[in-house]
Amino acid sequence: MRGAIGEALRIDLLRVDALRTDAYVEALIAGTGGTGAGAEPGRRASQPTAEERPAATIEVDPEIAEAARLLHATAWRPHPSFRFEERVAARLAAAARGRLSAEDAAAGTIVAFPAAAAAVVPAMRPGAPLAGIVSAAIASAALSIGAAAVLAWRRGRPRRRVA
Amino acid sequence: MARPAFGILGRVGERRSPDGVVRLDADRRLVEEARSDPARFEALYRKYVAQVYAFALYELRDHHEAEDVTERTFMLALAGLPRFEERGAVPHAGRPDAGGATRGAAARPRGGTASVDDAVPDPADASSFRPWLFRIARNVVAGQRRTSRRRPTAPLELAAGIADPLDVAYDAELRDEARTAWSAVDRLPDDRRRAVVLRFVEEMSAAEIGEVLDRSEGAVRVLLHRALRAVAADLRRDESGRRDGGTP
Repeated sequence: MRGAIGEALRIDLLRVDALRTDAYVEALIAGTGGTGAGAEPGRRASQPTAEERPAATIEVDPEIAEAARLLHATAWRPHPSFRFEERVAARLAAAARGRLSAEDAAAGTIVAFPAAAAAVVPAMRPGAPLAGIVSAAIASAALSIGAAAVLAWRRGRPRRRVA
Repeated sequence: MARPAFGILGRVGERRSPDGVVRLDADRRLVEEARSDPARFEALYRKYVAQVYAFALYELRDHHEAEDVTERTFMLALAGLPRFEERGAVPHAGRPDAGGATRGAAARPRGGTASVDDAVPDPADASSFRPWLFRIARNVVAGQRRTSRRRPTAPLELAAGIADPLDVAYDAELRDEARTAWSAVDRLPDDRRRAVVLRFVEEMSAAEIGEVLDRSEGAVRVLLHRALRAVAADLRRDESGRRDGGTP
């Protein structure tokens, strides 16, 4: 019974400490107006700034406070390259216009570049007559069969000997 | 930065501060615009691209993989935007929770009317879109890890640019301390490390982190507290090592 009470008390104390720590971190973050990392480069993390002083009024383990100040002062926010940002913005815009399914884009599906596809195969444009496509396919198949027949005939025929 | 607005009280997505002002979700306008015209999703993209990229880089420690994750996250967000539900309860600071317990989806209010008691003073820039976006990013990162089948090899402090000798922003001592601190963060269990990155790099509230990690707000606070205790212990060891004159 005593053990259970002790355990409950320990958990409660941990929660209280965690609440204080969180309040301290919140005060640190709020103190810099959200500018966060590197607001004052070069400053010792153990020296609170004027903005951070409100955080100092919150009772928290000094070692934890030091660790929090250090992480807050040195957290680095990398930024993607401008080129990458613009490329993704263009892809999102294309997806938004319906030229590219966003799910396909996320899955990395390769789709034809619309302008090139339209220029090379004009008959494939949406709305092109189906008969044109079918006759082009038949003509292509007939040419292939004809070429294969000529090749077979030439292979089967003995070579003419030249005296 | 606060966006006070007056409207129907208690609707999901609105939070009332003690001064009686109802605050809308910070991203509500942008989300609604993007829903009505997907081309306007760009505003949300521009607002959060650096944050998502930073999260991915801290997780994967690889610039190319981080870019890949960022791109896929936003593509999926664009595709999933019609299914996104704004939740007024996201930044709630007073939600009852059992510390350490994982909060189930059923426990989250969806739709309906939130009581005014649910509304608490929140940062004016609180958004339920951001945790939703980061949940997508977290899932994409997990998928990326499964695909590449390797754990990040670069140390966190390198990924974070702290060890860069050309960076004159930090003096030598601060750089040493920072390296020790971020090395300690690197050794933390995944959830604690993620919580630290979301708190200190992304400056998310405990409630937002809870949404991202699918934990209760109290559990996130405990995660952070324990993480900071571990970092503090490493700093203490480092300091005593330096005091003794040897290398730590």
